[in-house]
Amino acid sequence: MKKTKFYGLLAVVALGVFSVVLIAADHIDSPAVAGTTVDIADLYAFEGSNPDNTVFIATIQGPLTPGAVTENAIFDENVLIEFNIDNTGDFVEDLVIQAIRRDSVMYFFGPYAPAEVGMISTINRDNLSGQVEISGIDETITATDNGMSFYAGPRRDAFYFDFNQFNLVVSGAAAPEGFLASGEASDFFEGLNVMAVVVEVPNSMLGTAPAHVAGNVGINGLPDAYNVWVTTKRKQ
Amino acid sequence: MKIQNIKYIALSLCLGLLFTQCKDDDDNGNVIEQASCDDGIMNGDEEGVDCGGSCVSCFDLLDFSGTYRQEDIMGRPGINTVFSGSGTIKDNFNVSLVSDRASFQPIFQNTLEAYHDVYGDALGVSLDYEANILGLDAATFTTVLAQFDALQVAPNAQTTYFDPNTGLALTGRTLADDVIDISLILMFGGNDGARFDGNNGTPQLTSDGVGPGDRDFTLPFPYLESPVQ
Amino acid sequence: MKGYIILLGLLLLIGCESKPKYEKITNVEDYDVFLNSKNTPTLDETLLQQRYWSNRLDKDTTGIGDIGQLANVYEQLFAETGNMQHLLAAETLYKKAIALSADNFRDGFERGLAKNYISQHRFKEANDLLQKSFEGPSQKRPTQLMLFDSAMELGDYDRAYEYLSALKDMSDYNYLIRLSKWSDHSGDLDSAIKYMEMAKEKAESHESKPLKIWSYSNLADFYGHAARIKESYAHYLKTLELQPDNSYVKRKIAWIVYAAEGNSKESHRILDSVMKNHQLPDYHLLKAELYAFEGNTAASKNAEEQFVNAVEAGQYGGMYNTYLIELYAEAAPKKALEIAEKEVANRNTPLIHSYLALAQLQNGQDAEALKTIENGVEGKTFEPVALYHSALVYKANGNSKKVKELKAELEEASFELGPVMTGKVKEL
Repeated sequence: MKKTKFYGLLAVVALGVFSVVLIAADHIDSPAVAGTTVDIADLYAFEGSNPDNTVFIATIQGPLTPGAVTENAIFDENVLIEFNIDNTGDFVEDLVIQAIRRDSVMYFFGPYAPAEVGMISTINRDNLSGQVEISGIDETITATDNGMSFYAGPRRDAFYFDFNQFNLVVSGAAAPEGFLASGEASDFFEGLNVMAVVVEVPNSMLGTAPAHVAGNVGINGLPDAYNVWVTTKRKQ
Repeated sequence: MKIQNIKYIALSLCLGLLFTQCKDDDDNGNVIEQASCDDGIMNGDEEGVDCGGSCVSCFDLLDFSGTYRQEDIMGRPGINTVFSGSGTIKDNFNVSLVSDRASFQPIFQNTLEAYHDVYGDALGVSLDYEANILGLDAATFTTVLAQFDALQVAPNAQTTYFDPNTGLALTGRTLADDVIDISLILMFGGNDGARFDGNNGTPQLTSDGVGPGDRDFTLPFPYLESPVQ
Repeated sequence: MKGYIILLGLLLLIGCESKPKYEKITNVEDYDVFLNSKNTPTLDETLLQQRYWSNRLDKDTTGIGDIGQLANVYEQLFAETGNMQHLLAAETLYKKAIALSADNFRDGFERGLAKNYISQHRFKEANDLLQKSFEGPSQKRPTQLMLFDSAMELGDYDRAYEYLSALKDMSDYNYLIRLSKWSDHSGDLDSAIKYMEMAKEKAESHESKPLKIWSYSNLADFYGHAARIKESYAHYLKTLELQPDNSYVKRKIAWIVYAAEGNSKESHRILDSVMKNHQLPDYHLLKAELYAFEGNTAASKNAEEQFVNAVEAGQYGGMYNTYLIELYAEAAPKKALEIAEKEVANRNTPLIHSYLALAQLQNGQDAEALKTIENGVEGKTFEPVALYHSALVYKANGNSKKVKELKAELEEASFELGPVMTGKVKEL
């Protein structure tokens, strides 16, 4: 039950073929339709090892096979990765944390109140909060600044799911049995990588959390909670 | 390279040196130690090519201008792919705003019922979604999915997507959370979470049967493991 | 007498013109390092990918994720080796993935299979598949982009233009390369180059290696069409720097060395190095031309035979039909006509009609050939080969005015046509 990772996974099939095909001389096929650098695989948000902090993780461009595919994966300089935080309960972002690559460095802005909300974003460079050198496949470079911690680079995919069986469940081919028993099922994402952006932020920078949205549908008693989502936005 | 080209390069290098010397000479009379901030070389106390140290800050040279338009969005895991049901709706969802998703609710509800029909047909019975362990009926459940599609993140509580033992739910998403099984329980588990759990002749729809395997979720920042080589 | 003088004058004129104006473009030191047949980084990596996904697939033969990835790997292997078995393996895998796939996951595989069909010149099947997919729960834009491709291949230009208009987005690489292709088809080579240059900049700003490789090599082809040979060569070199084992580009450099510099010996050397790792029949055909250029008729015939044998031995389907028409036209005109009629049914483009006209001409059907040209070729294409076929047909039908016009146009395309063809143009 993932979102675009499925799309990414399937899209690779059509998107990954760019090779110039030498056939019958009069004819070069178009490259398969491109544009995967915006595809979000996952969003995680959890209490940090310091309980006063919250950790935000966005993974993109998954799944990447080990070796050259992972090694060649890069963050697109035209793609802004934006964590959106609603701390008033109206599902409009009050704060954003933005990450974007320039050369070999990922720059982080915020959390700050953006000048505009919704489909379009700009970067207010005055809100730079830190930067980190993008890690390669055999190194882990992190940075801390302004009480925040930063990472950007390839990681093992933390997501696990029997995607192949899910397809059969949805298509009806696996009906009526459904999913496989533990031991027979297999995790499609095992052994695969993703590109990850990780930022850890003191809760004091996120404002006061609003009442939990579950109260709207009669589920009471859950602790106050921000509403958080991630977007990828391409430079126009 | 042709020899005459080498000569030209040598000549231009000489000119460059002369130029640098003159310039530095004008600045402070030091012809050796002072590097130039516009020689295209990282030298002196520079942190990048012609920036940092006594030159302009490297950050100031970077361009962050322009506008950026949304192409993908994600709150809770799986929502768009599982419930949209078609490429067009998926594409529309990706460029929609969280606060403007009312139109997706009936689509999501249809998809939820369609999943049940697949199994109803296979079993030769009529099957419908049944209010789930959180007590949400189909309309309410799909409203939550469509219109409140964000991770709820509680700053002052344990993080869990759903912990059946404590009943705590929706306070964030950890790396370890089995979001697939949780979502399946909410979709197919009925009011006790075990409606289609594979027992008593029911299809197994409340778990995909896989766990995290040997993944290590106990690591310090950045919390994720190094890439598989 | 007067007529003879004019003829003599013309002959003299032709004599002067036919002295080839060769110009040194290439430098062996630029590309020699790439001719090492042991240096195959792209293929090495693809073979690793093949092993990775094959191993996973053994465990679970219903896994569409793994099947799709492996299909993709086989597509790449075909591009990198020229071995048709890989392309057919990819076809089988895509079909399997489509059969196993739930409705909302199917369209990616359908596009993969459509691309595979296009590579195999099975354009109708590609088009039908894409149209069906488009009507289903498919991602519309990528499917529509590919519908443009298949419509162009089928010669269905009105429909292609409709897709193109619906897709307009000057910031999208995928749109720009198609706009470029459309401009080229319309005879507006300047715009074709302009849009391909814009696409190249997009690829560079995305830092996408595969898109840069694609853009550089295709832009180089366009520069070649425009007789901007130095720029063409420079972009082929840029491609090789990113992908030292790109056979397509090496063959194109071999063409420059031959067509622009008249150095067939060096061209042979380049091709020999490529043929060690890449096994498409195309190389024999180019070799045949090089031998013909050298005046070695026996070796040329021999290379042509090798080409035909390679085409017949491989499972290439109709992929080489135009070349077979050309080869059979004189020696086996009936066979050439048969193939040409089949090929017109496969893709209804002006270029293919010109091949049909050529075959008709060789079968003594001068009037039919003229009709074919007038109805299906004239004013509809700017492809030099089509213009050449047209000129032959007009000549046989005694329309010397048209021949003269076409001849003038063709002489401007002498680099693209190559010395042997340029010689034939002069004989028109």
